[in-house]
Amino acid sequence: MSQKKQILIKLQNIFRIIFDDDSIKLNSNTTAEDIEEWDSLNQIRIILACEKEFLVKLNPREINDFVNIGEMVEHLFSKNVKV
Amino acid sequence: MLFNSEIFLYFFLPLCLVLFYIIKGSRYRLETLILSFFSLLFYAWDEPKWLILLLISIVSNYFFAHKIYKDNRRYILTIGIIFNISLIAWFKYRYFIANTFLGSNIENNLFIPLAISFFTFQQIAFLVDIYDKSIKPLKFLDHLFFVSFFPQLIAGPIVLAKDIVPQINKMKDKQIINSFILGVFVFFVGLFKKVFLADNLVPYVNIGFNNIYNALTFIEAWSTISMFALQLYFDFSGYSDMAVGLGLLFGLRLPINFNLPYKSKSIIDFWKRWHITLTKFFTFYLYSPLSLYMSRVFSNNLIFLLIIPFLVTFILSGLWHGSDWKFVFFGLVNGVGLIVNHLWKFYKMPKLPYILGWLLTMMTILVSFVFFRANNMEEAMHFLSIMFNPSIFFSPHWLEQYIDIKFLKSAYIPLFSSGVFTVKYLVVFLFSFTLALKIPNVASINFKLKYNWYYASLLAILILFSIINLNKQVSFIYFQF
Repeated sequence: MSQKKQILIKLQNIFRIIFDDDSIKLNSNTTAEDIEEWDSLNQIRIILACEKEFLVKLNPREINDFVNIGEMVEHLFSKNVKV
Repeated sequence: MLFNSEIFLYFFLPLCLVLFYIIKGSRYRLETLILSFFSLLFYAWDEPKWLILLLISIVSNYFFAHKIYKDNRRYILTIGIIFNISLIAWFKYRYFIANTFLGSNIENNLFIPLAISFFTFQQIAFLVDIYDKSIKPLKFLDHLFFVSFFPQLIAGPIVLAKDIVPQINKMKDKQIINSFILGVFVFFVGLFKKVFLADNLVPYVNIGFNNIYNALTFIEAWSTISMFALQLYFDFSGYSDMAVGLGLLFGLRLPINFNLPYKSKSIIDFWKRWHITLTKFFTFYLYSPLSLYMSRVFSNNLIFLLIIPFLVTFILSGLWHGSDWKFVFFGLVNGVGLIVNHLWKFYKMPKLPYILGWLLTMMTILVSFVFFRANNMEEAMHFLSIMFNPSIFFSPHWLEQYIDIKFLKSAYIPLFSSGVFTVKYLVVFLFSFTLALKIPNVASINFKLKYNWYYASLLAILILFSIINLNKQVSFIYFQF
């Protein structure tokens, strides 16, 4: 499995825990509009969970600029995160 | 200069457009120069002395931006932010700070430089974005244009450089006939909202607030503040639509500020739809970093994740509106409302039916608007004491002639002194409320204007009603910030 795919699967697990919804399926095109409960508080919880999972420090403004999950995966990939 | 003034509509804007399109059609790349010149003229028109302040702010931030980008040192960013905060603190908050923290007793009657809250915050965001390397510093003329572009200078929308700068570079070669026609339509929807709707609600709001200490009753207080909510929405969303429309006339797409806020089913929903660019600014540049920082340093729990950052954010966003405690309370009511809403969701409490969620949202908003509209804290508290005292619920005395309601006390109510006036009041309210829910968000990128007779007739009606109502020239509420 490619590293980007593994990052996506880990992100999906994070989203499922935070939104308490096992039916969430992420793909590169998923946006904040697709997940109704995605708000400013959950955004911070996602960042904190990613920092813990991938052992990186994230800048919230960079995350806000991402158009979709694909860009988030690319960003984590560019930081050489361990999966 | 006001967008709804004759000098702007009949002289300034046409001249600016003609010169812009002459330049655009020529081989010279002078569009930003001509628009910056007109923008500075627009700013200086009524109060030329503050132009110096605007230029000092622009020039300083231009140098800060280049220094931050070149050296990439956090302390330069910090100095830049402190410079901007000091500027606004001195010109807008010095009496408030002296009275609050130094025990002074100065009458808080500062004459605040026009648009200082907007151009200061826009440039703080710019410096942070430069530090993040999400944008590069601009050439001086582009920086001047980005800050001073007249459609957004006085009262927003707060524009981020990364949204507007890519458009500046394409301005010369872009075919903008469709954008121009859409701009005309959006501008006149905004002008109609302002001069026909908002300004005509002013007397209904003033009669209530002018009689706060004069036997105002329960029903009058709720009616008055509901009318104010409509006035404020049409005033500010009208201004924002005009700003977007004007941007489109020059081929530029400014961000939207409103998205049918009175349809909101929760207070979280409301703040995604009301003054969107300010909410984004505070979310991106204050709430998110503060919440993350506190959660990393202290503990990842709701106190540091949600409660403290939200209270700080909303108190400061309240203060952004004005140097008065009433604005602190305006922010506080909304902040507490949002915290409760987030906690409700976090603990998976049952989802409220739409109508109940809507009612709770509107009640919270209306309470916060009392602080927004009242002249001072004392007035606001007295107004609220009436709103939450059902024992002074009286029906209008003239109603007794028609219906006999035993359990209701009747009294002479100045606001509803006669049946005719009451019916007129209700018609105005229902008409305005329906329009607040039904007028589509024409400033949104999703709105598509169709070239047909329906829209042509609608535009003609909007222009007609707006021009007829132009003579009042009531200033925009958000110009004071």
